[in-house]
Amino acid sequence: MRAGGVILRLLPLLVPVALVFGCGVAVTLLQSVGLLMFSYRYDELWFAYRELLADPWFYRSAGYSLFVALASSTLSCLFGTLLAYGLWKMPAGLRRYGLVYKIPLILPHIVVGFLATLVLAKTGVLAALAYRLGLIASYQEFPQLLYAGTGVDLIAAYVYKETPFVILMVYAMLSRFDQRQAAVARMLGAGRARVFFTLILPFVLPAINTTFLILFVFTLGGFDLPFVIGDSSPGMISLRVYEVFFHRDLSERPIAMAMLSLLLVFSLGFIILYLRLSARLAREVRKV
Amino acid sequence: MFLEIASLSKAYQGRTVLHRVSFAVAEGELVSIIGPSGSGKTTLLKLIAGLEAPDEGRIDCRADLRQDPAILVFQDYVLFPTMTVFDNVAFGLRARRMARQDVAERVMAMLTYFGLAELARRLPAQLSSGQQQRVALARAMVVGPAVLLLDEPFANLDRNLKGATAEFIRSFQQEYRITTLCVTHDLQEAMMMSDRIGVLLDGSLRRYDRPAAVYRHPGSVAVASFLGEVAVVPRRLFTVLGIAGEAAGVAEAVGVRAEDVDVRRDPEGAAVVEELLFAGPFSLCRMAIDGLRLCAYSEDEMLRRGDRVRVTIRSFIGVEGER
Repeated sequence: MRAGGVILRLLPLLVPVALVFGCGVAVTLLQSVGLLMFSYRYDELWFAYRELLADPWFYRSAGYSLFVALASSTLSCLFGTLLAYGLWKMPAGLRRYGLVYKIPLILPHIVVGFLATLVLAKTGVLAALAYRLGLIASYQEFPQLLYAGTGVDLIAAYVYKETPFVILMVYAMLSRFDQRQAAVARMLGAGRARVFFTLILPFVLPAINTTFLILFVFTLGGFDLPFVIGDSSPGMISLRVYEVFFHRDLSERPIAMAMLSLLLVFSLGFIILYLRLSARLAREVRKV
Repeated sequence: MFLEIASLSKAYQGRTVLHRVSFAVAEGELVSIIGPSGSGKTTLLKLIAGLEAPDEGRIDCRADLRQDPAILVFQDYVLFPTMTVFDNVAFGLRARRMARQDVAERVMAMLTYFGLAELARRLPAQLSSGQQQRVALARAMVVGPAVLLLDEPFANLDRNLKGATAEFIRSFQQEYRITTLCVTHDLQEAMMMSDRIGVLLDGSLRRYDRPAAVYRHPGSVAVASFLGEVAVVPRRLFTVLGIAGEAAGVAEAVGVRAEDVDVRRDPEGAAVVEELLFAGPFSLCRMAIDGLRLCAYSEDEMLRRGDRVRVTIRSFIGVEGER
């Protein structure tokens, strides 16, 4: 089928999606420079960006958000890929029991947030376990994991929630892997590690890349988990956007929109850079 | 013998796929095992390649298969799709941790021999079926295997490419003196390129010898029928068809191949033409003679359905009572 025909058939889906997304982006960009603000007039077009970029908090928050998003997406992809590989290598009879990994998929993020507080708090499940095992003498000795400004709480919650999604995506890809490729590689003298790194990993890499990008962008702008267990200082950018958008004077809305615009531009730049780097890395891996 | 297969048996879920298969291959020989689909050919290769374990029997090889392996080239080649032609061929050498320079030299030498040097940077998906096959062969040959196992090497090729491929396989097999075992259902190509052929029917090796010997003395109707169209002529028709001689003396029936039947138009002839199928250089002529259906290749363009013909048999096959 020609490209024109494909686009024509997809139009009923493309038009609403493109309209909603396109309008949303356009309104965000315009309001970030003070346009379309109806009752407000601004003397300077870029005042929101200037104010934002002059604020040290913005850099701290952007760095913190980037760290949480990168760490949680990377760890989720790492654990998810290894678990998917382990599940795939299981005997067929056992594999169906391995499907318990899907349970966290059905939990809403907000529930995972509350679960994290129950598990990670100084009086939570982990602390109780450590106390029972004699690792700590009192609950006070248990390290501060929640609201410590380290991001450990957020990262742990995101990894718990996102790892099953990675397993789902990578396992689906692994199911399509031609096992005879591994047989040929072994006949040619390759060990298990070489088979994994030169054949299986490059095969599932497109799924890992796509999943990583989805998770990264989602976490970078994620709101519900940071709202329940995140710190307010420096805090994820999404929390400040929410605060400025809903709890401040309407005249400050361009600042919220500028933050969203910068998030969008950064995400797009990150996706392009990531895809280029991963393509180059995949080429190098094949030559090992 | 270099490779000896002794009483090899294999069953899947109670269904016997191979039954006590035994044969031997001399060093540097090219052997083809031929048989129809589902006769157990690919299973035989998988057992020799060590990809599956036999239920019974043993495989003995004079080479150390852990050092110099038996490498199976699958019917659809199973090239590594994310690797270039160069990387596919280099895979086995890199797995042996050979120095980068040596890998490049050996791979390029192999690619040049197989006529693939120009395609070194292409991905498998960008190659024709014949080119993919040569990449798979080069990838196997570059590591110097003890035995090369070919699974249906002609299956994915155009008719006019099969003969050339058989010649090519024979030529590189001779060049490298590599002991090769091929399974196929392409008879002509197998006979053209092989030192010996074996006929595998329903999991049993029914005949194993030089190609000409197997063709001329198939030993049974089943084997003869697999090698070409064969009619089983009963003793009562021997006189009518002029079948005589010592071999026919005691036989209750003999096998007759289409190419051994002469047909001439004759209003007094005992046979009647029932069907004529044009096949290019000749026509396939099916005849009825006293309840027997006989087949012949005829170049007579005047022959028509319903014509009476005189049939003479030039030679026949002893079928040793087996139908």
